[in-house]
Amino acid sequence: MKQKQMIRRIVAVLIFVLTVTSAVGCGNKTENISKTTGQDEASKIAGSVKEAPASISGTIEVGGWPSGDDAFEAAMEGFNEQYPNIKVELVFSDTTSHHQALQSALVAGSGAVDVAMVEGAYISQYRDSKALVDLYLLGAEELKDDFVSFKWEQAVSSDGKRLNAIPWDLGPTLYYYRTDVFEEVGLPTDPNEVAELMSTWDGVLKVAEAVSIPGKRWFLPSAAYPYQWMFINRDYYDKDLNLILERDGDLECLETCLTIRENGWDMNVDMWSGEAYAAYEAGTCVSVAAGSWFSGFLKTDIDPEGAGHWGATVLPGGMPSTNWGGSYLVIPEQSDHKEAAWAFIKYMLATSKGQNDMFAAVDYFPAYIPAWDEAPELYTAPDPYFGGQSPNAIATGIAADVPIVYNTIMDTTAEGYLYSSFNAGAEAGETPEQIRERLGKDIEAATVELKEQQIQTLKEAGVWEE
Amino acid sequence: MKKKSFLQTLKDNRVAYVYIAPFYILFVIFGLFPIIAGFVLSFFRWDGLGSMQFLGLGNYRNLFHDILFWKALSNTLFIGIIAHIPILLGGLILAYILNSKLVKGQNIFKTIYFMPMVTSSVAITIIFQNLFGNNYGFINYLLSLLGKDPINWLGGDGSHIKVAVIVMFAWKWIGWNMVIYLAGMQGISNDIYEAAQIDGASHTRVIFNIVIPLLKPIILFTLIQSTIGMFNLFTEPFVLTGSNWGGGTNNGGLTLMMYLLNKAPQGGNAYGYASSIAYVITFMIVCISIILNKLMTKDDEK
Repeated sequence: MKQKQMIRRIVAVLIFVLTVTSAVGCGNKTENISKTTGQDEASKIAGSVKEAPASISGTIEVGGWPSGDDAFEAAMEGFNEQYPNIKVELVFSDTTSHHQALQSALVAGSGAVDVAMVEGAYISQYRDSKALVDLYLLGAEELKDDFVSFKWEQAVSSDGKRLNAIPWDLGPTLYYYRTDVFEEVGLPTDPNEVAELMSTWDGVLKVAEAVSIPGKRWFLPSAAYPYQWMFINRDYYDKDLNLILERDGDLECLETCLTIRENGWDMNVDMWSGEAYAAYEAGTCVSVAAGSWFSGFLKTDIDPEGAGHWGATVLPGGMPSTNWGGSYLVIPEQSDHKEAAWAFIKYMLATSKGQNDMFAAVDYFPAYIPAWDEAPELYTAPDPYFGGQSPNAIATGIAADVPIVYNTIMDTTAEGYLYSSFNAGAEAGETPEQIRERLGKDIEAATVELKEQQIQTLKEAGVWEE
Repeated sequence: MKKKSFLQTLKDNRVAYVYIAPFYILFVIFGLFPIIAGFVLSFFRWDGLGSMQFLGLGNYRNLFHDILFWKALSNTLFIGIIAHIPILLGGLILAYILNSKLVKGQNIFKTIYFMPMVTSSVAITIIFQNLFGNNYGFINYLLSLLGKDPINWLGGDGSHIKVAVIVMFAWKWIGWNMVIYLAGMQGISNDIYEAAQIDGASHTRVIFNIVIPLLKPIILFTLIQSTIGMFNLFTEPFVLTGSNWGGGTNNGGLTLMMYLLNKAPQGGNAYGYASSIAYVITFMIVCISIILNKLMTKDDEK
């Protein structure tokens, strides 16, 4: 009996410990990244020597996600020529953990890198933050006209007085298609002809029918995507935080999506799933749309052997020019090397050489306009991977054309529901109007707390009126 | 008077206190402080960077009106309860088979069954994603061999994704339970088994009348562990839905932990709201633990 009691006591203690630790695990996942550099030494040097700007010295840490590190390495030589005394250390991890670590370090007040990448979808969380350096104070204002305005405006704070981030790249949305399949079924493969053919929803359906073999080859990963493309600028809300789902041609678009689904012309899987990746490579998923950074994905990751059987053109269905993602660089207020960090950002993002070196390396389309003219061959040269076409030339045309939109912290949640609410509605046999209504309800339900948070932020900035 | 005597004991036993101090210091910093800070935070609205706004019980009130919270809770409970049937029975039966020496190579089987517990769940999920794939999935291929229509496990109307999550959850925990039960069974005296054998008891009788009653405290321990595992369920449905924070179509795969992390810190920045969810989860785990404890010990007291 005594033994039994003992077991019970041990069990009780274990239960307690587990409950407590799991509770802690739930509430506070705080990870601090420890600094590994000889920072004291670096700041001593920086403090004792007063030099001309070109010879600022120190060691800065730059954090982000791949393939940003490849980009910086490609442009590092030029940077070191100009700033021989700044040493750069790259601290890279995957996108999610990078943002998590950055957020934790900003909340904790220490442990952040000196220059951090911020993904476009997160910018609305950071644009008002006082934990980041206001780059207007460092003279960012003079760079304004050199950057694509919609990208710049997204980074400006709610009250218009701060600028926490400098835009790096854009993602002009392109429609990627398999030229080999198009050719096989007797469709044109030239980007202009494809764009012309697919400029109406009827044209889109014709192409979908021609290329699809139900059960074997599909037009798209999911029929939900054409509808998602309408919103990919992430312009879900107006400045009064009203959800704006109705837009020109949205019901026709949904109708088309439903027809594609009913006929089995889509794979009915997520475009980033392993299944879809395999199908892009095998040519069994014939087309997909994404930001122009997707060119790099295709070349290096999805279909490295695929040179010559991919094409890219503007979005079908007569949709306006849109932008899909693209990142920023920020400097945390806690950084001890703000001057060096600013020099780094200015060189990488606001010089043609910096931007173009990175563009050539990883296809991050510069938000810095002068770079486009500086090395025109990069933007117009025929790309052997795309059979001698030039997706970047098309992307340049789109980039100049994207409207300024208003971003909120609810955008990413809304984006997730475009996909899942469409699927739910299609499964339930709903009409386009019903799907749109369902989407509105789903998004509202999922963003209640986020909206309150956004309102609080706007109130603090003094730009919200009840 | 009382205080003085406490100080006195502190003084008398200072060496002992110094010895146990490291644990308590670390516990206060990394355990107690976050627990309290999280609790305090649950009464505020805070984006992690701006100023904190006191809401009182507002977060909790909003939470109870949040249909997605209830959806996540019902999904989690559904997945957890269904999955516990194979977890408990499977674990017991496997452990019994290994313990009864019906098979050779005990250690090999132990290792194999324990593997899922220590393998990265992201890696496992990617394998399962391929198994349950819509067009190229192995399970749909088997269905097609049987002449059945393929099922869109991870998409569809969102109801089938639970099957995939349950399979993964059970597959992961069966081995863990088996190893613990096996250890427990080996602690039961051989005399009892022998006596049962002499009396001519069948295997089922031995399991239900000897093994299960004697293993009760251990079963309780594993139950509570897998209940906590159930509330912590996140990676599997998240990766299966292609990193969709809403849990896929009709929120079919939305679990509580996924909902919490979606609020903060991974998806959004609603730290106060996320803390209130964390405390509701903690409260539920404590309640379930107490209830289980009561249920399991009731008979013994008589």
